[in-house]
Amino acid sequence: MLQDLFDTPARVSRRSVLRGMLVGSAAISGSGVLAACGKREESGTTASTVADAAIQRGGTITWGKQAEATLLDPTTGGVGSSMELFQIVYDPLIAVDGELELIPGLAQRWESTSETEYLFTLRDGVRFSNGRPLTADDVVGTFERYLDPRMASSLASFISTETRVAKVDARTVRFTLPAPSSTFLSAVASAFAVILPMREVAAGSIDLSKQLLGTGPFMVKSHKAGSGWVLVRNPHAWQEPIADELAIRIMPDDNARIAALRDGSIDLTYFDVPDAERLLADVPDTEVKVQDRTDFYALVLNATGRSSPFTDQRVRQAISYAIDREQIREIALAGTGLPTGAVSAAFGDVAPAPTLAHDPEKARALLAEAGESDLSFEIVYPGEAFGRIAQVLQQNLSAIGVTVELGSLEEGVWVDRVYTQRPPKFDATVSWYAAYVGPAQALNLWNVDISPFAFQVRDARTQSLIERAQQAPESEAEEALRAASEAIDVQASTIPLVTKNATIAWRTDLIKVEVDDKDGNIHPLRHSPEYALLKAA
Amino acid sequence: MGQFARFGLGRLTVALVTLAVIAVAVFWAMRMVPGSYADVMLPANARAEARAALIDQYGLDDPLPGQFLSWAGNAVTGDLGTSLTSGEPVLSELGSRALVTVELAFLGGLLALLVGVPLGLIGGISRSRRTTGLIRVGNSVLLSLPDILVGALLVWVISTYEVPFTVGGWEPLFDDPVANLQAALPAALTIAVLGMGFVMTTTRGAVAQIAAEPYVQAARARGATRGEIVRRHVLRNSSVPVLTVFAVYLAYLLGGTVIAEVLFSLDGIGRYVIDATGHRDYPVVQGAVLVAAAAFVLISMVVDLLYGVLDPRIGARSAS
Repeated sequence: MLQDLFDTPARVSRRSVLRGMLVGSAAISGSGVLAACGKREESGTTASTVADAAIQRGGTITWGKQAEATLLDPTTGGVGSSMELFQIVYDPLIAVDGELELIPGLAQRWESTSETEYLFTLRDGVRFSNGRPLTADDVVGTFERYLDPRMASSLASFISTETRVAKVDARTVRFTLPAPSSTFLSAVASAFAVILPMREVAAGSIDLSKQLLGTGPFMVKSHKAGSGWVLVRNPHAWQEPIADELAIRIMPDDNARIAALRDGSIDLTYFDVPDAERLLADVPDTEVKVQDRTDFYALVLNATGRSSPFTDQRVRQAISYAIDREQIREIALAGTGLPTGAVSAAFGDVAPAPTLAHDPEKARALLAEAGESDLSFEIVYPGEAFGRIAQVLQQNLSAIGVTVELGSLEEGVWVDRVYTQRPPKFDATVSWYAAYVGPAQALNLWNVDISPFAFQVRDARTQSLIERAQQAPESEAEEALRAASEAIDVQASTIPLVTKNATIAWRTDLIKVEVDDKDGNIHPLRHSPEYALLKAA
Repeated sequence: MGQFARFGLGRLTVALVTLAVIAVAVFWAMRMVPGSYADVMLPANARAEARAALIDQYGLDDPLPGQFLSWAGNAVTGDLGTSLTSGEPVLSELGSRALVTVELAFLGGLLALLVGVPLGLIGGISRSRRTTGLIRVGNSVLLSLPDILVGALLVWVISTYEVPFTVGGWEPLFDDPVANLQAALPAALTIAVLGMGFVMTTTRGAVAQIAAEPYVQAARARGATRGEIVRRHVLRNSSVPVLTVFAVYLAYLLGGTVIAEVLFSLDGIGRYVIDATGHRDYPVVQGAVLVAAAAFVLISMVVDLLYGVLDPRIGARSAS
């Protein structure tokens, strides 16, 4: 039975995606919304932007970007600073809107023919910035590259390398999965699943680790490493930008970006520091928006050392019970973010609340039961925001009689001690993880086969519940997510704390921008084609 | 071989040995820092295969002596290698950023001289206890103000008040001199504060010492004006210690602009090296340190030669 789940440019919900896993479920999209998300000019948002008499076409929008995009090949470039850039130059088959719902990207529509088979129909008339039309061969080649085990791609963490991708006709591609997957569609919408110019790659005329050539609204004109990029309008873009240029200035220092925003040398920027909103309060003509992200901070306990107190699950659970997530949110994160469990709270109702909620009495009882009367350990962290969280954790744990020392580490040293060394050299750390746009995607962090962090606790039951949650049909999806989330919470080795938001700021007297309420793909400039300079008053 | 040639050869030998030691030290230090290029660049949950591929791509698991000899051999020919992150030659990456750093160092040095020399001169020759006291206090403040504090304060002022300066937005001097100075001056002032203190201290001490010399007393007795004494005797004779301090300070600035470049988002060598250190971009850090060391050594040699010009007695001693 062939069932259209996602008809032409229809906006669909995450629930619908999960529902799409079920053969025989009702069709979701209606013809009434077919025109809503087609070419940019056809969309309501853009139409209103263009109709605004205050804006001007052309010109240069300047973005103060806090970190350089250091990895330019989307195959392995699953780091935030690179993902931000990929999504401006390239496009994925499926895009994500401001409510984390899947919408058409380069695929005009997609449909599931069984629990393990998907057909994607490509948007007509799309061209790469060199003028060459996008073909089904590019899509097949791109995913063959991503799913080649030798490439060790970021996407292969979410889509089985045994998935088969085949061209059906010039505009249709079939994906055949080895098993049902509730994360497949959201993974296809990832920044590291963008479609690459495979004809040029095969011909050797482009080196993806040094050049970017995509179908996105802008293309690269010049780049000076560590300093900035100049992107210009892609003349063949299916999402035609209003501005001529997008200049990117790499400005790691928060204060420098605030000053540049004030003097108008940048038009927009964004911040990871939680108190950015307060810092920006006095900057005139500036609008600030705190964007909910699915990413989250976590306390990681190293449960692997023989002498580690964290080998005892009761001790780990005591630590978890001692944590006051609301206090972390209020004190360390300036009231931003949401207390979260293993399924990011940014996903809303589908995310179960943390199982081991703040309960110092239970924490003390568990420590006593484990015979830990004088527990002390060190929390290491790689930066200011992490340090603030660690300080609140220190206070939380002090309340149950646990002594915590704090240690700030340079990021490379921190990565080495926490993620690279075998065995890892730390007691506990505050880290953060991306949860992307599918509620079950971040569960991979606790899947020791996919994320073989040396500090992880291997637990067969948790592993099997995670796999079940990532394969469950829609009717069982919520229950499967709850069960996996609970098992992860009870293991208490990597303890989710609070979601990690971003603060986006722009000059209201210089540009007109739109910023989504939510994001899961580290894509603050999703609406960049619609950004426009304002006419001088 | 003449005395002067022997002196020059000796200095050159010392310079080459210094550079060789620095080359070994920076190469070794970078490899000893925890966290490799692959660790830092790839996501935390990157697969081991991806990590191994990146290490293999750049030969980072080759034996260290071999890596060093290969790099040092190329460096001798002027090839400092290729940046791991950008894939561009290190020398051209440094060259494209050198103008910012050199201009900042020059401006910082100029500000240090313009403020430090006159105030040091006044402090050295003034007989007013109030004036000398004020200058001593000002001198102490300048010497004890960390550049990061001065810079952070200036960034705060620029981001809070309407002032004709910018953070970042650097334009080349000859393309847009006004925009260039708007971006450069606050950064230059940041690095100049310490230099002002050094130059002031040295000038004050040197001037006070020379003012007590018999030939200055004799000039006074002859009825020479204070201006004449300063011009003819004090300035020239106090220039050697001031030049020494200034040269060391200028050489320091070639690496010392880093705080200002980072705080003011200026695209100079200092910020580039800081980023490269964070990324574990070994060839960039090694190349930049080697170039900075070479510049330091070169400036020291030039200053040695200048001593002879400013004070012929030194030149005669060196040559004898």
